[in-house]
Amino acid sequence: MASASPMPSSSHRLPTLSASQALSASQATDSRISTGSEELDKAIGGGLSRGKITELCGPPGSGKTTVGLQSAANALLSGDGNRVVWIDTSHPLPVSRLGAILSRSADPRELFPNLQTIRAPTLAHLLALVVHPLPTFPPEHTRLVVIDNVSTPFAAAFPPGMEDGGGGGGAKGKKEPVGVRRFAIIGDLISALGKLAGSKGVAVLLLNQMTTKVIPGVGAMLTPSVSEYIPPTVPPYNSHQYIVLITPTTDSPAWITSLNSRLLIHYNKTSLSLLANPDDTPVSQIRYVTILKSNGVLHGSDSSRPVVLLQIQETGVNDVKLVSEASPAAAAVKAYEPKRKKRKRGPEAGVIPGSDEEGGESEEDEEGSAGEMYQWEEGAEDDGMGAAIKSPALDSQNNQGFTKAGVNTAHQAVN
Amino acid sequence: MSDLLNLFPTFPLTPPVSNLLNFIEDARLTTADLLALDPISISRRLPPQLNTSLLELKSLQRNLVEHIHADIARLSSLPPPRTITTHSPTLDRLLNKIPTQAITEFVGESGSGKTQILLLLTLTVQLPPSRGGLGRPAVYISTEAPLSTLRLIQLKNYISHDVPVDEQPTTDKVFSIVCSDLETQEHIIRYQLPVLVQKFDVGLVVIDSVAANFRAEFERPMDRNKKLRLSNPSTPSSSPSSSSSTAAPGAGARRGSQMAQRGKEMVRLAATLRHLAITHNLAVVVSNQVSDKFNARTPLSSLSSPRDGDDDDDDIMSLDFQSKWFTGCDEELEGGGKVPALGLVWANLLATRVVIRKSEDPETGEWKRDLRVAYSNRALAGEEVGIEVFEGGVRSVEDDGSDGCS
Repeated sequence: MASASPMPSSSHRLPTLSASQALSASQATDSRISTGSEELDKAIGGGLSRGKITELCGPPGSGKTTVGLQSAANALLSGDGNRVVWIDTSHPLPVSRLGAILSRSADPRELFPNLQTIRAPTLAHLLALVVHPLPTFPPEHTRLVVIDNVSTPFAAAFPPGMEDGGGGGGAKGKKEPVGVRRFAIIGDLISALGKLAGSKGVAVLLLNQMTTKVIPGVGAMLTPSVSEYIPPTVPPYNSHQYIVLITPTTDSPAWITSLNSRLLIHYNKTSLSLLANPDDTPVSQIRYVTILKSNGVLHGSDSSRPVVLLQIQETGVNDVKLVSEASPAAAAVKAYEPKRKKRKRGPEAGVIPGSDEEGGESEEDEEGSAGEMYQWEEGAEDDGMGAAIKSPALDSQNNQGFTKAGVNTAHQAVN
Repeated sequence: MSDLLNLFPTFPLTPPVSNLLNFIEDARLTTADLLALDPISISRRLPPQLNTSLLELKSLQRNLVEHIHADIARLSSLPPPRTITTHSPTLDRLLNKIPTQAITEFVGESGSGKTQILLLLTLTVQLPPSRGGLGRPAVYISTEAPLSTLRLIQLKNYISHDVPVDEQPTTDKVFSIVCSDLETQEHIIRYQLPVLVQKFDVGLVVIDSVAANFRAEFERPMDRNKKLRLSNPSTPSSSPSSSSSTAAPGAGARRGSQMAQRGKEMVRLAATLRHLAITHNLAVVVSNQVSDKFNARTPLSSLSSPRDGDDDDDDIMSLDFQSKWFTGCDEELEGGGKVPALGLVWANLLATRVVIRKSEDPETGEWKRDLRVAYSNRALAGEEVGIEVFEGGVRSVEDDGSDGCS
């Protein structure tokens, strides 16, 4: 591999650092680039990590590009001469929006020269750029490289339908190698990106789209497009299914291990009563970020996955302030949950609200459903692990995996 | 098939490469493979009797890398995107105008006014930059009804009323063609369109509608039956299927491969259009059709309570749940329960999706149209404005009368 490419000499080896130097470097304040949301930064250890790769995936319109723009703006603003490289593989960088974000704190015209946009419309372009980089890529003082997005080149080079060539569909000997090559190239790309990030000390932010996978008996689920998961042979249905789907163990191992953080940005329902400033935060601008991996730590189960609320605006990313002290996860789930519960377990609904004094102390709103959730938790909570193990069984009937996640968090918030 | 010459038609075919090219094609090595593999692995994939020298492969790879780097530099130094006005101040504000170098979609049911907007754009693109256009001609590719020349003339007259003669748009600068099947469509877009664009410096390519041929060729009546079965109350765990791409597998491998084929064609179409858009700095605007969203609220599953019906069965990351936002489908609204055709694969390829919702006013019985950005990388989604179709095209209800935008 290395022999193949005329690599710039500097990328042959990592700069030599002693462990203590490395440690202090990694803790230096400028080693992180803010995403624009304090909550999100906190959840991933202070922001996008320099020398590491962060992936942000989500369906169309979920705000991937905005988070990318906001991070780029913050990197540009983080110090004199700090540079950003924006690689677009599909649509050009919306300069006007970056200008709008920058102009909140500086004159965009002064900072634009520090932004380099590179077009890589096909997989070949992207590979040449990243696997066989020019010595000048990325330029000195680059803090952040954003790729918007990594999935379009793969979709074009390996069109839909070929990707499961390794599986049942295309065992004609014709398609099989294509699927294998796709996986191999994904691995090559991510390892080259990792090397680039590490050797040049830049933060790499990958924006990734979602694709659908149909799970028998479940329906179509969204899963990150590059490095997508292979459906299990016998999919046991419960509402943890979505967790199973995006559990990174089923992804390309090279991809997932190379990521420092993996964020899933998506839509969810939000009830107005939970917002501190409902007038300033239109529900249509609220997005949820589920953190699948942060700072090298996988969050394998739903209950351990932090959830952060963001407001996506034309002028960038903001935090969403909630009324209660409860964690965003609990609030988000609660916002989503009560409706479901009432319908699903209609007959029991009359019994449970009676217990709402337990929930009342932490939550102003939605007492009924909060109490309802605690009630459930109590029953299953004899030992911490028991709850986790039991819940799928309940779920298969009641479809309430998400409640469980919320309950755990809410409960901790109270104690 | 190697895609080398498709992607990089100017890649020099000097002896070592030209001799190898056939074998590279036979070995199904793509350009991406040539870049990602090292020369030893490449030589292993070539026929052993060929005895390729590693040095040759090395130099091939080096030449290729250099060539692509030059291409990247060329592409990256192309002029930045420009915009085209919609001739309506409110729509311009909402959409942040229509950008070049990107694919913009207008989606709505028939009679929602999307064709009107597309027609209007074929004229405004001809306006000089000082008036919000590009001063360049337009191509109108229709897959259903041919271009309505009468309406175009009417629009032209309206737009031209305060524009000096030499700056007025003309119908001569709107090239139109009808493609009635997917094969023709693909041929025209891949081979004829680039020539035309090059020759006349076209600034806007319109496809009205992008879905028609895909739907005619890939969607079949059995879809509906499948959906009925899926949302049957006897299998409550299965989430109801809404988009045509969500039918259960195993129910038809053939259907699965059809969907894959369709996806492949869509990805290819978008790649061709995007390439044109970037290299010629032109705008691509397409219209898309809608289908009714089929879900648990329909009579078959009326066992579940009608009000908070289908949503709640979905997991957060199910296509059904997430797609409510990016399809612009909102069943709470009158006329909102429609989903754009072509599914997520297509949705991923768009820069902007604009949804027009048509509803009947319960009191007057008149049709109302509301337009909103479902998602966009350059405009804020969410705000919905009422629009109306009038002799001068489409304007927002707010602009009413004072529409002399310049």
